[in-house]
Amino acid sequence: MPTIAERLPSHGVRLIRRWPVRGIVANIAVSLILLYIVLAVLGPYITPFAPNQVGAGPRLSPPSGDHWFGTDALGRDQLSRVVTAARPALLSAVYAVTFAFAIGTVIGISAGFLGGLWDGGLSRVVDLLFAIPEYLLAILVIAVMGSGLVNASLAIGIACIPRFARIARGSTLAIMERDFIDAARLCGRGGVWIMRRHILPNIASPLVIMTAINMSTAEGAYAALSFLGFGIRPPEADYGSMISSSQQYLLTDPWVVAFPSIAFVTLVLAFNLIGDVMRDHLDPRSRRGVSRFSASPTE
Amino acid sequence: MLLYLSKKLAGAFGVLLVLSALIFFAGRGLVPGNPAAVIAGSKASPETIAAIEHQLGLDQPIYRQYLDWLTAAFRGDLGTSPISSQANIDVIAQQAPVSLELSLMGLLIAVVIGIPVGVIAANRSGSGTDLGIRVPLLIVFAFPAFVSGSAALYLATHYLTNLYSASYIPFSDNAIANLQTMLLPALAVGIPTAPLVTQMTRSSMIEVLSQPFIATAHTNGIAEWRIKYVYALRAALPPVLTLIGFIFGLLVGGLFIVEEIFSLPGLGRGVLDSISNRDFSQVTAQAIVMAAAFILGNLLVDLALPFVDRRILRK
Repeated sequence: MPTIAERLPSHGVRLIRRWPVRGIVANIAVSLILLYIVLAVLGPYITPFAPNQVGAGPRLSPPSGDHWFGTDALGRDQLSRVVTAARPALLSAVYAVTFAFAIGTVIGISAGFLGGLWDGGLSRVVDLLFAIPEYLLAILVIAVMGSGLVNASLAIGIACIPRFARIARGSTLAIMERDFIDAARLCGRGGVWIMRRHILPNIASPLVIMTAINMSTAEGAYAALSFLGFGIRPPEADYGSMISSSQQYLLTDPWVVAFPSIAFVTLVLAFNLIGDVMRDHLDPRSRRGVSRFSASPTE
Repeated sequence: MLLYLSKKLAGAFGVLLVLSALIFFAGRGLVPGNPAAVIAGSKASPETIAAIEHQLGLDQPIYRQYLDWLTAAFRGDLGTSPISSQANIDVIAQQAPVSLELSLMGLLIAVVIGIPVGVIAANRSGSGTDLGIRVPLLIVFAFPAFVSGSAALYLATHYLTNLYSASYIPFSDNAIANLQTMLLPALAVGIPTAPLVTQMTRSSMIEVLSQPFIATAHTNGIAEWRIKYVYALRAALPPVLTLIGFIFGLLVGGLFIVEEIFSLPGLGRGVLDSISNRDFSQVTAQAIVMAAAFILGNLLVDLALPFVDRRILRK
């Protein structure tokens, strides 16, 4: 016979039913993300030119009917490159956040649940990671491991671990006070089962908010690293490296910098908006004083 | 207070010590294979390589190298670069003031914009003003330093040619010329950070304004401005101060980018140069100075907190 907990819709289903997408701004943000996902998947098949094709048009031509976003210093079609760059942009954020989420959550929950020496030791390690400026940490990791999409994303992921670990630990400690944890213990449930079935679903809200916020952070950090030359290897299209390699033409042909910048800022903005909306929706404390901006009239 | 102070000092020192080890080993990992062989060049004889190894102390076990390095560091000697044969501390003494000035100016800009705007947004929370503040800030926040920096550079060289001069001049040589160079990079660092300060101030103020002591102040007939700007703002400050500690980290990140864009001879650019030169000795020294500055900044925030909120001492 299924238990009550099993007959209830799973947490994931409940989360989707109260999908926090209400209000115009939130819907625009979600649509933008979906657009970038479509571009990331279909990118290579729909671009008018091959993204790395040198001399697809005249060098540094302004936006025109043939080249909507103009061409760069090597005559490559900027529209094609901007579209293609959606894939590394999204992938880097997904890699980094998945890595930080996985490691940080395991550290945080186990530290909060087990307490004692384990907690003390892990918390020190997390404090230590927090004590290094994130960019310095990421650059040092890359200096040792080498640059590239995966390495840069991992470096960002490592720098983001403490954020997840801290929030997971804090939320776990709050949940540990609740009676149902004691009840589960009395039923003879093991630690891992309790952590997975009781604690993880109950701290999902802050973790989801953290994930959304970190998507934009990771995306920005990856573009910054790529700007500094630590990202995906040229000539592959990437927002950061596109902006840095066109920097010298900024004064004469501003659009070569403008289009990748706009594409990148739009993506970060969309992630930020979603993070904001989710926080307003899932975190009851910040809902007070929330404006029409995130409009969530239900609940 | 003394206990709190010594606890924080000891904590910061411990963290710095462990970090120094991490950074030291990361620095050694920068050069694949034998650094001495890289320095000696591809045609060097084994004897030359061994001599260089001995000279750099690389023939010692790694923990021994670290301990030697650490004891030297306590005496203020951060090693000598085997690439440029300059003392690292001299190079850093040139670079650090640039970065320090840039981050302090950036922080000042972020705070001067961030806190008042956050207070205004909190006082009118839910209104059109609040919305009118939050949406543009969210957009500004999406602009990373390398985009806002590029935009600032474009504007400066096109429209504000009198305001901006590209060559860096130390503050002590000519303060006005120095500020001319630094103001724009500082804006590029500070403005994207301001929204964080605003958001934290806003949510902290909203929280405080709903507390009983504010209602009590109202019933006692205390002037509205006094309640908001004296009582509430002070109570709302601790989370904002803590955030400033976090912002130091962002500023360090901004340094790498903004110094690169504006060609400022600071630490951020120095680290990148050292990495591309595979100068492990110099990058170790630069990274440890950066980390130490960050830890010191956070320590100062910790020490300032009890002055805003006495309750922290009782914990």
